[in-house]
Amino acid sequence: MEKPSSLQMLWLKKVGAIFLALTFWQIAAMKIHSRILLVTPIAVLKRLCTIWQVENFFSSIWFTFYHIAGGFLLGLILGILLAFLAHKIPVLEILFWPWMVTIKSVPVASFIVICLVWLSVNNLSIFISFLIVLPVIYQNILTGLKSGNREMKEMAQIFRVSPFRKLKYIIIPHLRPYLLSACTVTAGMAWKAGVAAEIIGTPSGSMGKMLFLAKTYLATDDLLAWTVIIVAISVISEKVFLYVLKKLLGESKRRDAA
Amino acid sequence: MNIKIRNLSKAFGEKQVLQNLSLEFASGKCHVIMGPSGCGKTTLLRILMGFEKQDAGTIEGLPVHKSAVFQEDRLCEDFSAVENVAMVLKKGFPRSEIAENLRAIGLDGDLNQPVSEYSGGMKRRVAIVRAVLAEADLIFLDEPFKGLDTDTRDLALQYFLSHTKGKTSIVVTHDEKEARMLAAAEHITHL
Repeated sequence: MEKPSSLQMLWLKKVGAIFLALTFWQIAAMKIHSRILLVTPIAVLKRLCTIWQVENFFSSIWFTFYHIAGGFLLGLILGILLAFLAHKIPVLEILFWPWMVTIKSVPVASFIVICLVWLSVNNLSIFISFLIVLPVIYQNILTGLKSGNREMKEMAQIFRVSPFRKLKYIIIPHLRPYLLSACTVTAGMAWKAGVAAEIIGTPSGSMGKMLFLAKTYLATDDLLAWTVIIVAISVISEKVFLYVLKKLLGESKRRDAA
Repeated sequence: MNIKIRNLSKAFGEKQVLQNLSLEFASGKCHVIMGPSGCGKTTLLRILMGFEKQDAGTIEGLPVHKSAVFQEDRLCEDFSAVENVAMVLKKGFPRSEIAENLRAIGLDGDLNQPVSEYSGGMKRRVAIVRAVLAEADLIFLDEPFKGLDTDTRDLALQYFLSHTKGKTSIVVTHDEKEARMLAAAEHITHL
């Protein structure tokens, strides 16, 4: 029989660790023996099988998804635009600086409360995920632009390469790792902050509201089942988005037919 | 129109690299600049390319359309040899012609793989084809055949000469043989 590879071994170890954690959880829940304090993983699994029957289940998922994804995309686009502007016009970098530092350092909870005064609760998660994403994307892209290759700039200058081609052949390949790392970090953060905003603002028809209700009614199995769903959607959407982004940015790397 | 350099001087801090240099490059000829390391050959090219400003002196007759083979290859590593050349050419320039030129300089095999997978010598030749095919009245070459073995260098040199007839080019090299193959004696300058 063939020996498992090191990668397979790693996966086996990880699966083992998950199984061990679940066992620990199961034993702890059985010991505590309180459905309010801690339910067993089996109870959560059972609830996951039936939770889709809850009224507005799919619409809640869709509501939260498009608000957080919308905020993420807005932060992504504006972060890139502002970084390009700040790189082109240095005084703008100074002008943007207090805004970006404030956004980064003010706690998310404070922003949520402030925004509750200014915005309708329905748009809260868009704005919060936008705020989480914007400074990270801006900073990463600006760093990438600043570390631009002088030699390649000179090459483009002497050959009078058009701005579009410069973008395609020089700038995008250079910025690719900066953008991908920023998106990898912010995609998960946007979900966490967006759902936190929904739990505090409780917009009707959102997953945050579902979590809030589960907590109110002390339905711990519902609370954990919704948490599992949020984590699953967050991970899936992050993977899909990064896959699409890599494809888009990597398109120019593909082989060209002579 | 000839390129006329008058009393050109350039210093980097305390170090005087060029001092009252006067030269004239005849139009349509290949010119070679030779000299020991640090004598200012590359600095002169960089001033002519517009990347450095001289401290004193004048330059007349520089054309607008220029191309270059830099000391480094300066290729877009993620793209194929064909794309690297096409990038500096007018839209619609036949890809088959680019491939033909790349083959003429001895690049056989897959021309569509990213140049990051190429050897140093292969990259050098892509850089030469890029400079030769680009629409330019003046070509700068800073040690263009560096890192090529003798046979490949001779092939690349022949390719360069046959494709740049009537164009003005300024080549920096350390190699006497290379200099003699590229330019007539009166067009070789020792700095």
